[in-house]
Amino acid sequence: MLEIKNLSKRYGDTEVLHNVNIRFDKGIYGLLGPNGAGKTTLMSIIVNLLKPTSGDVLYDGVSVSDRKCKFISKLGFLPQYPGYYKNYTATEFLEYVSVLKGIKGANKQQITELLNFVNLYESRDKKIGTFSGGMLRRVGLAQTLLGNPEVIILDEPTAGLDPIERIRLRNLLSEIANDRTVIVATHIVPDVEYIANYIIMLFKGNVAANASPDVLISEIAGKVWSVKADIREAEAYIKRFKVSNIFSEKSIYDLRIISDNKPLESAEEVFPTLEDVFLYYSFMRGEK
Amino acid sequence: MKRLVVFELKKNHNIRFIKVFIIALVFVNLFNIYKNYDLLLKPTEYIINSEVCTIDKVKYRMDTDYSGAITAEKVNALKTHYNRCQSITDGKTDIQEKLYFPLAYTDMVQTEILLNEMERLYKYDAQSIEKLLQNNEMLKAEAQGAENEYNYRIAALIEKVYSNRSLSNFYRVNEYEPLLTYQFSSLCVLLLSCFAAAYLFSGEKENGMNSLIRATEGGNVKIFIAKATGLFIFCVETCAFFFISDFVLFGLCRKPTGLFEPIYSLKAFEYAPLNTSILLFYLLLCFIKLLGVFAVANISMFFSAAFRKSYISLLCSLLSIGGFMYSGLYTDGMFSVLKHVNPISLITSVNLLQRFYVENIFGHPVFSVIVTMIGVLSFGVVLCIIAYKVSIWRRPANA
Repeated sequence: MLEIKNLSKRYGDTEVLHNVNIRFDKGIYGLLGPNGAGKTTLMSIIVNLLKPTSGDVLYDGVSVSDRKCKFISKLGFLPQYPGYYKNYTATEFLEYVSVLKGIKGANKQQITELLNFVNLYESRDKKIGTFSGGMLRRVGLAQTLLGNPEVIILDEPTAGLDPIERIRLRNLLSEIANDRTVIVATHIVPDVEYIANYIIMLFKGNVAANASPDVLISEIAGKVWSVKADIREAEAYIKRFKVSNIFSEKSIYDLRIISDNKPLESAEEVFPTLEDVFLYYSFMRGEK
Repeated sequence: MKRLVVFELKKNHNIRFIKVFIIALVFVNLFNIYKNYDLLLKPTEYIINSEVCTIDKVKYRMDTDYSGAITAEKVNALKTHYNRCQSITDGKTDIQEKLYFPLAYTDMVQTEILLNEMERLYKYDAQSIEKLLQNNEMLKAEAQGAENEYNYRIAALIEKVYSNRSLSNFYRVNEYEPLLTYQFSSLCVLLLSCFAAAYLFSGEKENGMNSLIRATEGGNVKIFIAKATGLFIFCVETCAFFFISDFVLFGLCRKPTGLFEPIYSLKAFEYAPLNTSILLFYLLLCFIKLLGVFAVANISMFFSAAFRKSYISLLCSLLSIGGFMYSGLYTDGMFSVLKHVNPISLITSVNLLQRFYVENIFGHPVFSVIVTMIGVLSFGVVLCIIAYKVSIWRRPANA
């Protein structure tokens, strides 16, 4: 089991992470946060690429920076923007990573299975340089699965992908989550909304929320409102309230407002979404 | 590990600008040798039996006719030929026999050069070495008298190295000298190895693969060893490619013979402290140069581990090479010890092998080339360790 204890990280005078405490069990964890919230720094500390200023990351009770710790052999990691090697084929790249991971024995069979799983078997002998963004992400995902790791960490796996590829990747993530800990760091709420068992919200280096999506949504029940307005009123409401969404139809604007109290007499309470939760905590933390 | 090394090698070979650079340098090197050393490009030309010949080409025929063991018969034949050419030149006789050159005077001059060379070879032990050993005996006696143990050891070493040397064959061995002293291909290899090494770690950081690699079991020690081994193999391949092509090209351009003759049969190497054949000497020289190239590549690898951009690593490496070349020229006096850790000293090691150069190591004379090899190797190992430490230094992935 993976555990983050009292973890802080400073770069000079800037505190990037502040006393972070998270415990990861089996399941998919969506690490949500805006750009610059400290997600990549947190990921880098978890995978032992970066030293924390204080606190520790423990795997089965042993610090991941300890030589005795077996974490690295149980880890599958996909960083934010891996460039891959354009002259390697998909098969060669997976062979390379499997050698790096020290996988012995029937890894050829596993590579074939993984290429089938991520729907790249037909392109197995093509150079990676010819792959689309979605194909690259799928190769990236396949390499994280080499050696059947217990913990999979993905940093912004859907960045730059079109909607179809994002859905495809999301479905793959759901499939691999069985009996594993999967941590997906992203700033795009829909990426984890339907697949995550737990959502961790990170703002300015602080953990603002850590619970299942249902719990988080229920926590802000009665705080999301719908207001209909004309353009003049809409402009005034945008300045006055925290608006999460605007939908216009025939000069009538439907504003989705996040507020602890009923903002206007005409406001109607609506069922919150995870995006509303994210914005709610975002507004609370003073994010713009 | 073997597979990891193969993958690392494949990465090195796939760097586009290295491929382009290799091809460009091969052509530049080829052109350089052809332009500066090809015998066929010498200006004076003759037409002999309807064939256009240069002076060196005709000389090659002449040398080949008299190649092999130096015998009284050959020397007498040459002397007779010389006298006849002289008579023809003086107008005392008509041309009665076949000459090498259209002009009897040229034939006479070239015969004289050939005779002098044969004489030098034949009298090598009796003149050059005998004289050296006699002087050495005096030094030895002096050192013994003054109880100067170090000088005595030097004298003993000279005696051991130079005794029993003799030459009895004539071949075109002097034509090997341009090959042995040629340095341009070493510079090409040096640049190529630097380019490959500068990309080793910086390249991984540039394309965002560093984090992925480092988050694997083999991402620290294993990958470093694989990269260093891959770099060494790349240096070996590049050295082999350039040095073999030099050997072939010089062979074609200069037409040397007597590859298995002792290295001291070359005029410029008559006091070389080695008793090996020319071939072995060349192989040894290539090996020593390879060590120097690898040590320089290690400097580049260190910069690659330290910087995130390969062009910065490369720039620092090139500046370091410049620094080493400059310091190689000016490290004298108390700084002379620096010469023995300077990788450039190994790349230009032919100077150290041409004459008897020794260093005082705890009262024992040790050949300078050996001291430099040990010094540079130690320097390379230290650099390797530092590069490893720097490469695994935990830094933020996006910093």
